[in-house]
Amino acid sequence: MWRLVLKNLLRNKRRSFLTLSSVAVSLFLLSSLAIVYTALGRPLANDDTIPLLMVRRAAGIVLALPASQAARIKTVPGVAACSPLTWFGGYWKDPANTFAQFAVDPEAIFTVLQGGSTILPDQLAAFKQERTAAVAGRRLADKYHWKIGDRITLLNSPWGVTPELVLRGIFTGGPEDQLYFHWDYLNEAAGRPNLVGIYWVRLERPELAARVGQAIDTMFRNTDAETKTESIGAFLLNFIAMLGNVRLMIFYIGSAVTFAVVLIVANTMAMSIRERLAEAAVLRSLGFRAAHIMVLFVGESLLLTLGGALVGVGGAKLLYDGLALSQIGQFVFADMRMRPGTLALCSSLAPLIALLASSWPAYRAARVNIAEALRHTG
Amino acid sequence: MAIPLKYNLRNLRVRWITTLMTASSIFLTVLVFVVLLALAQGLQTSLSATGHPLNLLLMREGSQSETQSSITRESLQVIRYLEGIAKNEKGEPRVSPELIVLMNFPRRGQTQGSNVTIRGLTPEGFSLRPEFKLLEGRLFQRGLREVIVSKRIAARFQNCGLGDRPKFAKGYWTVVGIFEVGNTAYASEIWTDPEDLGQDFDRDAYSSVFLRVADANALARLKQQVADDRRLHLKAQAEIEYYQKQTSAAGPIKALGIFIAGLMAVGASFAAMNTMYAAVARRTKEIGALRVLGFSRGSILLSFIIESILIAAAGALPACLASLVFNGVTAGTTNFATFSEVAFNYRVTPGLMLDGMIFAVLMGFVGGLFPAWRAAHENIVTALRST
Repeated sequence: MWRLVLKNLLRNKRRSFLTLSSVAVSLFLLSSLAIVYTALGRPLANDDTIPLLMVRRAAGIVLALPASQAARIKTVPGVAACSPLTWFGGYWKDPANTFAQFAVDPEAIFTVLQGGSTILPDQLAAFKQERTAAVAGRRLADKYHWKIGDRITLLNSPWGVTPELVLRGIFTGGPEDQLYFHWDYLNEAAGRPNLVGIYWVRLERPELAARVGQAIDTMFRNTDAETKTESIGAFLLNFIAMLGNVRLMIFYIGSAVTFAVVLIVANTMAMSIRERLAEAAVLRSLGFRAAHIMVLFVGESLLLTLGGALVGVGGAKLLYDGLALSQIGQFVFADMRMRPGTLALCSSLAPLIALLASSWPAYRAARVNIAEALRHTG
Repeated sequence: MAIPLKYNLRNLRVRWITTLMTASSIFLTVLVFVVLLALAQGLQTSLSATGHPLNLLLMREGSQSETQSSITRESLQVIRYLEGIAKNEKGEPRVSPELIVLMNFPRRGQTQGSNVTIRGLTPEGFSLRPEFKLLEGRLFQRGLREVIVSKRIAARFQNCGLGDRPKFAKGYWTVVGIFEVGNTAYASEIWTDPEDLGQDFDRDAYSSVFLRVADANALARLKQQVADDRRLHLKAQAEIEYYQKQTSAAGPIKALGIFIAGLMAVGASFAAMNTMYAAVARRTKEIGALRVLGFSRGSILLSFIIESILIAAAGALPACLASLVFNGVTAGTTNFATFSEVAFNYRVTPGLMLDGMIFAVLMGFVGGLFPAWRAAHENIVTALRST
């Protein structure tokens, strides 16, 4: 049966090729949209296995937290380490050279990043010791050709201070496009406002996330600086939400694309089937049942869409996984690899499209009056 | 001599189902194209239409946006007496010190919030924005924690309508008025008194200073003067220039629109190609007859290309009309330059609709070229013999 389906498709190679390519391109687009849609809803796929939490000001991300909260957070059971993460927002040498700079607690930061980032012990010790020391991720250091011992001056920050730092370490893994320096240094230079941006908390075990999060928020409820503790994924969602209702728009566009694909395949199948009404009649007079004819035609459209899915969805998976691995772009807002659920959904569109597109013409061809059909000249 | 258009139109009508399906896929493609570009256009217009040509904006040296900037009260005293500033009826310099605070408000229908710009400004500040118009209610008064909300923000965010009492900083505030400021970036803000705002957020200094210069020459002179003044550490730029720089946000959206529409166009062109190939195959005998009648290869080529373009146009025209439904619809996103909400309207311009039509014609052309070539180069005898 399938050999007959395949042979029929190969009869008009050009039409089959054009339709398959159409489906492939459309499914590639749909996969791209689906990936963005899921990433915007759940930025990190494996959120619940990461033992990290972000503590921010409940009233808004742009507001600061008092530095005194750090000591209290560390007393919460389940907290392995805690470091402030304060956005500095300056640039190096040229306004175009902007990257993430954070003032942190050097004693705690690499415990927090443990498992994700690694740094040589002597570099870490040097970082901890010197007040003006800084560490940078490997990718950042490579981009600006920094070496250990280089002086890095950060200019024009909203803080109004100009830290003169010395690079004492380069770490690999984790947020490699970031630079960290001493919060104490920043605080003193700025006149001791004793404020931090957010706290980065490392949990002893990932399962403790909910309990620790609640404990921290309860601790600071009804104070001047109420907190909201969230997983990294939820934290990223704060930024993503700022974009507006992008997901709805993506949904509408995705629907338009799906509709268009169904029309395209339906068009092909309608043309193809109409041309072969006489053949279908011959097959039926030979003894094939109506059901057989339907399966034959639906099978053709199924093969086309599956082929298109293989190229389109498969291509999307390869492309985005590859892009994500090389992590193009500095602020990676979400994990943009194709997740198993998305892959399954997009692939399952193929049989759906095939059915929608070909059922009606196939049904008509299968049920047409044999004598009339044999007379049909197209 | 060219083959009459009626031939193409009749054929399209006879094969109306196929024509309809192909035109529909082009309809969808053009619709997505025009709507996405209208989104980008709306965002760009809203940002670039902001600014009076004689307004100057002063910020701290090196700040990219008002939120990063800070100007002390002492500096304000120096600024007020700079030369070249226009005077109001009372003879005072038209200088407006302003304080910017970003506050997170939840949008209507969403739980996640977005940053909205709250601007503290004095009545002088109102006069610097000629597009300002109070729609409902009244202006705020000092000391009473009152705010006025722009129409777009009131519509898009929770608890921001006339009479509502939003809670931020140290307590509750009251919305006493709704205003609009034309189609500018200010149309996405909440305005209040700068002293009330400063007290609630423990801010001692201002964010920025707006002033009106006396004339265009004064603008350049004043800019230079501010830059040269070593006490101030400020930079001055034309208000128009400041907002122009932020329009880069629309760029990525435009690129995205073109990317998506481009991919859809490939699919639609292939569909058109399929349709035309089938049409040519079905009408081989007719083509032979046309050649025998004396129509040249060129006219057959042209005829089939035109037919393909007609299908595309049939899909694109309703798409352009349908896109008008979106025109004026309000949307909003975060302007990452200022890190706060900018609300804007979709703008479907005639230029954009024309772009959509041209896009469709291109799809039709690409889709019809190869089949038309095929038709034009059919061997006459074989063609006449075909069934």
